[in-house]
Amino acid sequence: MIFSIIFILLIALGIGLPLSLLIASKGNLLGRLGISFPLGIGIFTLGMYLSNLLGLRFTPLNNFLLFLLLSIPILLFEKGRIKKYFVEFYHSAKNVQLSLDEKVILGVLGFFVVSSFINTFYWPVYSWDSLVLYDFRGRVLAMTGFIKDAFFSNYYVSYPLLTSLSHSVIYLSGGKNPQFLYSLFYLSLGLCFYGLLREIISRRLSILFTLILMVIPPVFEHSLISLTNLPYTVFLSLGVIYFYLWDKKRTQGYLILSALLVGLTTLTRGIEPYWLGIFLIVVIVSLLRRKLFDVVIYSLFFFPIQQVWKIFQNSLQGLPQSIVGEVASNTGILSNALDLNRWSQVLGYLYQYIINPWGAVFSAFILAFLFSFIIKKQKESFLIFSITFVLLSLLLLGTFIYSFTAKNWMEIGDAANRMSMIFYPLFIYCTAVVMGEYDEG
Amino acid sequence: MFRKYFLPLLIVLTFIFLVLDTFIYPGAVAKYLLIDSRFYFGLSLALVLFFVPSKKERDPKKYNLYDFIMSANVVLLIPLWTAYLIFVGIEAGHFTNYVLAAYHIHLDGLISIPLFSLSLFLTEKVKNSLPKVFLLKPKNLFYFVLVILTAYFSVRNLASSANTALNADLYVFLHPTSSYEEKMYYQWGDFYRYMVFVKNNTLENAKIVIPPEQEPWVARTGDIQLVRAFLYPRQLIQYNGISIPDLQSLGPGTYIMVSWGDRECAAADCHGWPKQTIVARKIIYKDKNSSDVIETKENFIYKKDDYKYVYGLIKL
Repeated sequence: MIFSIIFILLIALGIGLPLSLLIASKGNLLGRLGISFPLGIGIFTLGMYLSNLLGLRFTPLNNFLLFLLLSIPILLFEKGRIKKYFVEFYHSAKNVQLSLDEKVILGVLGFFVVSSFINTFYWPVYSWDSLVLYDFRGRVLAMTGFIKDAFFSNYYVSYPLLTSLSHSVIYLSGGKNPQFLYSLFYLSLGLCFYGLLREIISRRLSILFTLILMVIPPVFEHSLISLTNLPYTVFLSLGVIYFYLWDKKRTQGYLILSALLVGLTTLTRGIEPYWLGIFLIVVIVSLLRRKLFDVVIYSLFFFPIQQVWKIFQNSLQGLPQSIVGEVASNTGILSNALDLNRWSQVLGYLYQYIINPWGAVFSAFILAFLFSFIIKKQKESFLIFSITFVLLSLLLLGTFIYSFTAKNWMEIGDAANRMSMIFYPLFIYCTAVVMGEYDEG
Repeated sequence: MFRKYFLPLLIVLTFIFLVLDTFIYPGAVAKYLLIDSRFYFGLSLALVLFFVPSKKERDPKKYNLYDFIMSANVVLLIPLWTAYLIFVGIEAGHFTNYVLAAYHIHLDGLISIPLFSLSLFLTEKVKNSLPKVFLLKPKNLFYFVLVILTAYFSVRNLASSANTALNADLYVFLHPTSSYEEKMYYQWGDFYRYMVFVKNNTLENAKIVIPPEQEPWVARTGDIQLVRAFLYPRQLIQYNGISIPDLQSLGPGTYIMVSWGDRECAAADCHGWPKQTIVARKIIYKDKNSSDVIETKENFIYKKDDYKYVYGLIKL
């Protein structure tokens, strides 16, 4: 097991960290550390996937060679920055002075992170979805060495492979229990969320709002089980926030990080169309800023990742190969757009399974949006609110379309609830931004 | 008036509401008084933050009742946490919901009481070093409501997640040497032992016929994806109907699961599968307390009413 833990840390620190430094050299130190695991495991599993399609078998040796192939060039290229990063990190850690309230909050945060690791190291994979799909595919990939061997029916092709490949990395490096990966996603979310908040608001508020995020029951509970919802939430929410910060700070690297992270969501879960909303916002913002080249940059990093799985999946399932074809296949449903009865059913369903469980945080988010106008700081936070509203609209529209394609749509409220988890970081980030502006004002 | 009586009474009332939620059920206060007890929790904390000056700055005469309540809270803090942890320990040592069954205490409600006590204590301690945004007197209603909502949301989640974490951690600490089999049995019950039983008694290239995907097997032995997760790389065969259409075509050496069914079902004779006569080379039955074989019959004719055990395996 120890080798698999070391290998995962190598992937994070040997691929994720230098890659994030290469793409955007400036940024909060803890945030940078936080992004290294999701980015590293995302890029590494993408490499595994592509090399396997080219005929390279999954073996411990091949995985190690792939790691060297991906990490050595970036490590050599970024040698100076990595050294500087660790020196800065050491000095910051040595000189940090925390107030009592910060120590208390960090203590509580530490308790939840440690608790998550205790449980994921203890429990084997046991949740239904993971046993039958994500982890099962990971075990088959490690046993047979080839992706196609894991697809017994269309059911096994229905979800992309990022988490399954991550599990196979653990099995191939001698580990027996891949659940700790989800604790790492949880820790990464906390570190990176703090880092991204810290870029615009004070340290105390950043720590406080990170705590508010990390104690949300679905977020904490998903760090204990191996489902795809937490990794998806990490990739998507951080991708959105990086995009917001790119616009706010005009750091080009953040746009690339955003494109990569949103791209990796499509390798984690394939059903949700949130990437489409984000891409729409990228186009609109680039048009408004008269910098169309930004759309090209974003597309250059996003679409190759999105398409490598989509084309493969569609070829196995015999579905349309292009995005246009995919959209066209849903146009029939749009003719039902005026079905008011269905709309009311969908709204009732969303209220029961999504808005009600969100509870106070959704109200706080709406109130924060209104409050941003009252304190005349709406310009500072308008983009992050806009993206969140667009994603909320997609949730509504997606559920409406889904209600025509799935007969049992009313019965799977739990799945809809899990799917809506991605909004927690966004609601909290939006609220924090407004309160931070008020704090400064 | 507000400082002298309202806030101390609100704190006491919050304790009472949290106790009611613990002994009736979490949400009982919300049902009968329309507002969740943890909203009072968040409101109390927000008011302490906004309206109570630090101990050095405040006039003791105006805050004597408040100070008394806070002193009583300090005295109660450790006993409340000790009591909570004892109940969590009892739960971890038995089974999920044991405390509810034996003592009529909802653990997910109980956590809120020591947590409220701790939050009051810490709020008093750290309020001077909090971001100034929390110490500003509310300039407008929007901001005040925003802070209350954020506090309520945080408190509600902190109580729920802390309860989950402490319960889970204590289970781990009380069962540190559990094997993989014991952990999976805890999660999946006897179905897991049956999967081990089948695995132990078949080769990896075996063909196994499993029950149909319908009640009462649909959630366990009739769920082909779930069974595959445990028995891979064995080849699984599943038919749509209740009966196996052509037994002869299956060939010698093929296995057929024997499963009573995992859920209740309405029809009187719905349990038990297979529901047809099968000439078996061998039939083995699983011990109800382990994954071992309890009975073996060779060259036996299996009949549809032959259900002595919950799980078994026929070899053609």
